[in-house]
Amino acid sequence: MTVTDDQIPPTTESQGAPPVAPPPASVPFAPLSAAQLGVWVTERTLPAESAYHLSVLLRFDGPLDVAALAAACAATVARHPVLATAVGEVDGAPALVPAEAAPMRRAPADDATIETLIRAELARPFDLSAGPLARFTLFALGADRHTLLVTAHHMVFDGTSKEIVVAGLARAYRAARDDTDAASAAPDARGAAKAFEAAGAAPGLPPADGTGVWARHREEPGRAVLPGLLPTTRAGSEPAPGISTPFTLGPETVAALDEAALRLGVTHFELLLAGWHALLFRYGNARVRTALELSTRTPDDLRRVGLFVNELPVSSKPRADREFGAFTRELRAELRAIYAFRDVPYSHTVRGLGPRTALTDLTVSYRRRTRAIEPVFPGVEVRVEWIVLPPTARNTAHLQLVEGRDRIDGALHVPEDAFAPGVAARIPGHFRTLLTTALADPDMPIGDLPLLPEAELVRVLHADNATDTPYPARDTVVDLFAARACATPDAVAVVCDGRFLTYRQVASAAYVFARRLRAAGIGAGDLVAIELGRTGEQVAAVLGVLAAGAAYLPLDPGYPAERLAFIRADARIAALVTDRGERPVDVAAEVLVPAKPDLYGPDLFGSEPAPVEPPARPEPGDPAYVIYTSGSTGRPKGVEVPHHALANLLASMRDRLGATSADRWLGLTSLSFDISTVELLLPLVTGARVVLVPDDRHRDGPAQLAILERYAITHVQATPSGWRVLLAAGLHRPGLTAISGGEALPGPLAGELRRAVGQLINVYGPTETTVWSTYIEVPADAPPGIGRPLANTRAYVLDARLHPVPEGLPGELFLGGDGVAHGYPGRPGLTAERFVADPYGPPGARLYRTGDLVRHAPGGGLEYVGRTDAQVKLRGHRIEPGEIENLLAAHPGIAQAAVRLLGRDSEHARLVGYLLPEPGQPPVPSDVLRAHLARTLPSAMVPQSFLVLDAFPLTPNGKLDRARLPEPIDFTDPTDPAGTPGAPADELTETVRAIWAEVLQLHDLGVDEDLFDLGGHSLTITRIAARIRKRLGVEVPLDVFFDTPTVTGVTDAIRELQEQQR
Amino acid sequence: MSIDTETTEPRYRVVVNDEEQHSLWPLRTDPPAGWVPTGFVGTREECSAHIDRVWPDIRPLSLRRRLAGDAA
Repeated sequence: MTVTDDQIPPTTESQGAPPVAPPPASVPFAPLSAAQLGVWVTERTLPAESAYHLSVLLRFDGPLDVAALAAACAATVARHPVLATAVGEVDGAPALVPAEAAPMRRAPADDATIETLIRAELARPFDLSAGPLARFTLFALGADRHTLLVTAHHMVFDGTSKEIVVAGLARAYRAARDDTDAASAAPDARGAAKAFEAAGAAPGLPPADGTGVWARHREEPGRAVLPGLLPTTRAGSEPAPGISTPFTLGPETVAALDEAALRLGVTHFELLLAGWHALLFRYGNARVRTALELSTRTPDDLRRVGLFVNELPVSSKPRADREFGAFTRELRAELRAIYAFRDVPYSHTVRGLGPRTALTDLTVSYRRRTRAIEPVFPGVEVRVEWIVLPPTARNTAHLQLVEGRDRIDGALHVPEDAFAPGVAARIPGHFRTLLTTALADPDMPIGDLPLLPEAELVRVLHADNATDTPYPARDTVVDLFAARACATPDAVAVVCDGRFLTYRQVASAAYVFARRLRAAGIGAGDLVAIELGRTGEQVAAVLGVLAAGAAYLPLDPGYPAERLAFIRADARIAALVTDRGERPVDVAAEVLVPAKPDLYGPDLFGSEPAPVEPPARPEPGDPAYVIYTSGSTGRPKGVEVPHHALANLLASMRDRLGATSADRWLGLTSLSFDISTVELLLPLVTGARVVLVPDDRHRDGPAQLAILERYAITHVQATPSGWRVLLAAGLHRPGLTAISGGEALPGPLAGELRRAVGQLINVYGPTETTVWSTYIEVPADAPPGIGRPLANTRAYVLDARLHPVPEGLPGELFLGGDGVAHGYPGRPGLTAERFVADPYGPPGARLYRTGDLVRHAPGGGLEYVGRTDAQVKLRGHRIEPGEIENLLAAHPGIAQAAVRLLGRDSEHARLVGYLLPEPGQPPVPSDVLRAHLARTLPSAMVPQSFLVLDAFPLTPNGKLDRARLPEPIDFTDPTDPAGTPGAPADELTETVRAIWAEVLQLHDLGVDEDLFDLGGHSLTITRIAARIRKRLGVEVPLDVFFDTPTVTGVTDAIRELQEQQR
Repeated sequence: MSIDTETTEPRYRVVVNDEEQHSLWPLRTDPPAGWVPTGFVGTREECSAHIDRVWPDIRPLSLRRRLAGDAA
């Protein structure tokens, strides 16, 4: 394609109000190449700071001839005049024009200040319009120690340029010392006229891609997933203060690269890139896209300093079961397809790329040093640091690799504030670990390549899991309670409805009942259903069933009859305890004990406290209870828990809480919810007291508060929903220990609760590993994690192939140890699927796969992320509803929030937010909420609609019932504009339209057509802007073209600017 | 040597431990220490259905033995 307006003589076109005076026509100039134009546009639209500063460091040891070095610097600039240029304007478009070269600057430094000084010098801005675009700074650390920092702007520099300049400096230094005239040598052999063109490739528009090779890149891979990456509003390709982690791959890696390259028929670079893509895949990026800096040097350009790179994206879709070698060959084929377009700027083929310091949020640059010989400066030792990254990062993560003869120097450059402290610095270690195995064994599937260096492996697998704590496993709840009943028979054990029941009374009732069960032939291995309300009788029945050697199955009389009937039929119960007075019709074959334990019956203890034996002493492996859980899908399933698991839980909770006989617990939770075992049985095995909340008061905050006060309760356990009820009623008890579990504890609720009570404990655990598995005392003003495993419990964060996940990334939580339940009675297949062989524990051990996503928290312990089955995909973004919910709940006007993805297919999928307003607060408008979310979330994660509810639907256990969140009846997208009618064209619009038509060379152009659809890109934009400036006298900021890329949009901006000028 | 498994469902083997507790383990790797393959191999669904048939009582072997002894 030919572009004509570049040939228009500068004298006729540059009369307007240019920011820089045009050079005389006789002065040589070079129009900016596409790559340079991209850099220049970004510099003008984004705070690029030092993102485009390229540097190389030479550290000298020995008697340096400073004068000779200064001469060498001058000679090098003279040889490569592009280093002494500025960006001027020629023919209404930016161009490189000559500027005065800067002499080598000398600065004193010492060991304490040198690195800070280097960083400051790296950060020092270039004045693009004044030039020069390169500078040399020599730091003198002493007579015999110097450091030379060469810094150049990316406009005129690239990686290979570093090599050329350093070699040139060495040559010129030698010449200056020998005092030959080579030191002041003329520009390179191609002659002065041509030398100036070294700025870059020819101007104009290279042909756009007609083959659709980029089509596969259109699908945005979504936000990058990296360890420790924090949620942010910043786009991944914008500049930010950066931090770099240098690393080295040593001779053994280079040797392994040689061998693998030979074996697979690929290059070192292809292996390294495949390793990087494989690592990104393992981090959780289902699609990997990294932009590459490809060299555009022709053989003629090999010795020329300048910007000879083009950034192009390379995408891959790795699979866990693909062998690394095969994947590398696939990636090679992809690379070869892209190499055909290495001269085509990506912005010319893909519409609407806004200003950016990097093409994509993940980038890679690789350079193999062609002359891997270190430069020789006679008389001094020199060490060259080829990778010197500036204080500004260009994107989320940039991997830079420079391969030398027997080592590869690398660095990872990331924005400092985008990651949890210290976490990004581990990424190079993962890369190195993965490469080691991948190169040695390219047949290994990508999904099985080890990532974690030994130290991190030990941390994630073992640090928090060293929980072995001896406990008397033979002491079951039955033994422990019996011991307490003997020790303090007259202490109050249970308070219910104003009745105070002593240990003696409760034990007597329990053992009498146990004997009746034994007499009915019920014992070890049998299951007894307890369908009683929250009463002292219920407590005695539980203890009685256990003291008979049997296991109990709780049935909450408040549950729907249908559910109770299902469980009774499913559970194969040996007996049913009910106070309804009649046998339910569906319990045909089972023995029925319609007994009401008589608390005032025979006192087995007599008048003197004497040892009274329960009729049976269960073995540690005997089942203690079976509790039915809803499960996310299908029918409820029972979970069978053995005595030793229950004993371990109670012993661990006792130790962690420091529980004593002086404690007074609130018995709040339904017996059908396994957390009730803690609030009923922990007090009874520690000699403490449990105060039962009557069934009709479970949602009654004021009534519960009255009980807390009246009975001086010290310990309350509840779900976050339950805590909201208490807080709403005005909970304020500085002496209370609050235990929250059963649902994720949102940060704002934790903060509120923390201020209302003395101590806040957050616990986590599935029924399948016996109530609670992890525990943390929530610190003040910190987001609550779920803490560390309880005693004799192991927690692993694993990927789908059961490999440990790096710190800072979500993985599925697997739990092992003494809490692991027997499984689901009557569901062997399901048991086998959910309880898996433990690769990290003792031989033969099992792990329960929780279906919960967690990650290792920065300070140790675990953070809850969400459910594996709740994670939804919306337009390529993996979305965790919990993340959105937490942010919504953080709004002061919102008490509680839930988010659901609705819509059958991806096209109609939409996120709906459900809100419970903070009582007494005005309703929060949807657009305010959307703005609130948009501050920290990508737009795909902001719900399109919100529904305000009076109350959230809850499951019988008091947890949010997501499936019953209502679907909005009428859904219209409020962000959809009502359509803009075509405005009549006025004179200004017509002028702008004419300029667009000229530059784009289109006759037929609508005022609402998108510039990028019309084939526009950064060069087009600068030309349009130049003509607008000339004809209308208005300087339109370049970002206007990206924000509103239509004639109408730009005209509106011009109108506004004109009004400001008046 | 590589079989393209893109379209085929992942396959598992049925494994047991000393307590005769059954589980599924991916066919591509050896099960952890203390777990022995029973010889049955299939998709997740096939293994699950197989286990439903051969392991009716999910309680550990030691408990089943104890309860059987108690009853005798």
